[in-house]
Amino acid sequence: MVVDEQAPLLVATDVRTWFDTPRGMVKAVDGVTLTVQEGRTIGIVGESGSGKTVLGRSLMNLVFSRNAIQSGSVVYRGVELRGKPLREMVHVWGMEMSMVFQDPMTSLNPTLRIGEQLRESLWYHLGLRGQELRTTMTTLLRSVGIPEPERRLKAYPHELSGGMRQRVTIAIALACGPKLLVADEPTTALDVTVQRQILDLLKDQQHERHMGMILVTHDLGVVAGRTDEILVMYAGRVVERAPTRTLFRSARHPYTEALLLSIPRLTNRPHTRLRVVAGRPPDLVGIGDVCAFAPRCRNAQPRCIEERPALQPGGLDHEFACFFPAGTAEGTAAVERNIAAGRNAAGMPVLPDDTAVVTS
Amino acid sequence: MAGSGIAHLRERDDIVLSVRHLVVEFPTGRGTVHAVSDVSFDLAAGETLGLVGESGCGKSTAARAVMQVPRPTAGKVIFEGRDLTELDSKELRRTRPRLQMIYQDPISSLNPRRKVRDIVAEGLTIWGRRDEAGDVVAGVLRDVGLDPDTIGDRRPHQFSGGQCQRICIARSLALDPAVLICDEPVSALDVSVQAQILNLLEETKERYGLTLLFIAHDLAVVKNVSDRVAVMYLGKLCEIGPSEQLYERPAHPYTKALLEAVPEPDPDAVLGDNVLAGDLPSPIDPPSGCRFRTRCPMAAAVCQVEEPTMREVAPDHFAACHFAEAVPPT
Repeated sequence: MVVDEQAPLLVATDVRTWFDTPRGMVKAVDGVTLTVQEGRTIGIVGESGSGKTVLGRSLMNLVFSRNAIQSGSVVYRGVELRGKPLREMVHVWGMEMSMVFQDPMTSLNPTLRIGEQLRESLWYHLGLRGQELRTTMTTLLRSVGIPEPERRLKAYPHELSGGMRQRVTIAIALACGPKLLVADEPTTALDVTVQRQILDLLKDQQHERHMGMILVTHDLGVVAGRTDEILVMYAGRVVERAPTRTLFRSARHPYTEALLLSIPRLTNRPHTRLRVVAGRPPDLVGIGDVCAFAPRCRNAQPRCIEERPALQPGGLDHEFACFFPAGTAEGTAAVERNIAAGRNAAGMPVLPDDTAVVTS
Repeated sequence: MAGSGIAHLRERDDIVLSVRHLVVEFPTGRGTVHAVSDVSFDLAAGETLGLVGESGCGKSTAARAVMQVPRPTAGKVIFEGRDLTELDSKELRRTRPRLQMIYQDPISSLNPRRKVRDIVAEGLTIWGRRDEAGDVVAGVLRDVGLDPDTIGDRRPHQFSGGQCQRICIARSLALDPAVLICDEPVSALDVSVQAQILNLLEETKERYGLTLLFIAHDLAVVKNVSDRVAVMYLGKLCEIGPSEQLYERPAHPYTKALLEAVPEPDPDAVLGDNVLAGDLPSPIDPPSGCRFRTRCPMAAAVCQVEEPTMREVAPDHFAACHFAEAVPPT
């Protein structure tokens, strides 16, 4: 593939991935724009159903459902990937961009030895054979922290622990030296001490190879220390985008703010009441052109259930989609109005005490 | 860790549940799985004990053994003055209303074919209290933040995970329990829903005068609800103490490593360099001496031959480590 060395690594513009289902149109990803530069990591944060996984797959051109309707553009180093046929994409996957999935047990083939699975792309893309192939494989396994790599090449996935399996999938993803790595919840299935090992490994490898990385997760803790920029997704759309520090220090979207305040912290005293986000994530069918978070938002005003706020700049490199952002005069006034009325514009009870358990 | 011993058990009149030398083993084709090996702890009335550890450490197995499902291989479980392990099934059944449990996956813990009203009333029906069931059910549903009139006739599939967990909590409350065992009650829920359930548990605990055994792998969640915290590793208790003390000054190298591995949602948090290498050893053939020694940065020769026992390292704070005093502060 002929690439433009000067172009940014990945530029996605107005990406939409909808699914036509019997229940209606599920707008899993609904107009997402993002840029990944070489050597940078962006975090995509959202809850289940926010569209973060479908977005990751859309960027990789990995959405194959027959009922999927896709639009927008995904440009990798100057080359448009949308609409590229499979026979061309096979030269992109593994060579240029790779993906690491949540569950290493299901992304590895249980009937093939580790060596056979690692060999595939080295054999196919790089044309390695014989001793050179074997040496490359052991070096790769060693670089992802797998002890006794020669022996592990003969092992089956079930003979390895969860952490070791994830190291293998990372080795497979990195085998041909991709420039972009998309990691979709790479540590969600792992224990906290192993999670730490895998996140460190990803960081070291990214640094060494100067890759761009997209880290998709539901855990704000995972992205806090390991990303340059964060996109917060809600109901298929980006509701806030900011450099990592800015997002944690001055979140503007009420959803981001509520999420940050609702996480239990290690530094909390025992029995600290947490900020409650009322209700639950929305059904992606039939949200309409309104703010999808409004029914759960303490700030929501009539305008929020009549029109949809666009993602707009509001500070250095900071964008958010809200008419009454947190931490601003409009936002504070909006909450006060709702507390006085006892409810927000969507009818959700708003009490002065934001830790109260609201009837759902 | 690898700790045994009962130095940390308290001599007090208000101990509701006392677990002594609990052992759970499962025979398998490849050998015996030592899931829980000599674990002891106690709960005083009105307190919350958090039990943390990674998957496979035996925390859920220990909780189930307290409930006697299945009965433990050895050890005593003294609840309200009676040893549950010695009761026959008929007598055990009589204690069940007082000792209730809620589980990780709220959706699969509810019978999908039954109405919410009947699910919550089942315990009362079994105990022949059908007459008062209507009022009790309405009361507990209201207390967990659900409107009995609108949801009573619905079935579990019409609810989200958070709402199903509320229904499970309501069901456990209907029989007026003394102790509620919560096994990973929020780990299957979305972040934005977790706080609802955690706050609800705190509120319920106060309103119903409950004593809680709260099991979770998430250290921040556990600290948030617990008065005391116990840390488990590979079937053994490592450390137990008052929550704040234990988090601020861990006296076991495993607790310290666990705390330093937690990703804090703060970009300026300094990551500890105490990264545990390797994986959990097999519970079929656990290491000799201290079970944590194979991954412990402080392990010495003594750890291989001598199992450390629980000893007091600070008031009310116990750890099972030969080198507890040498664990550097976090």
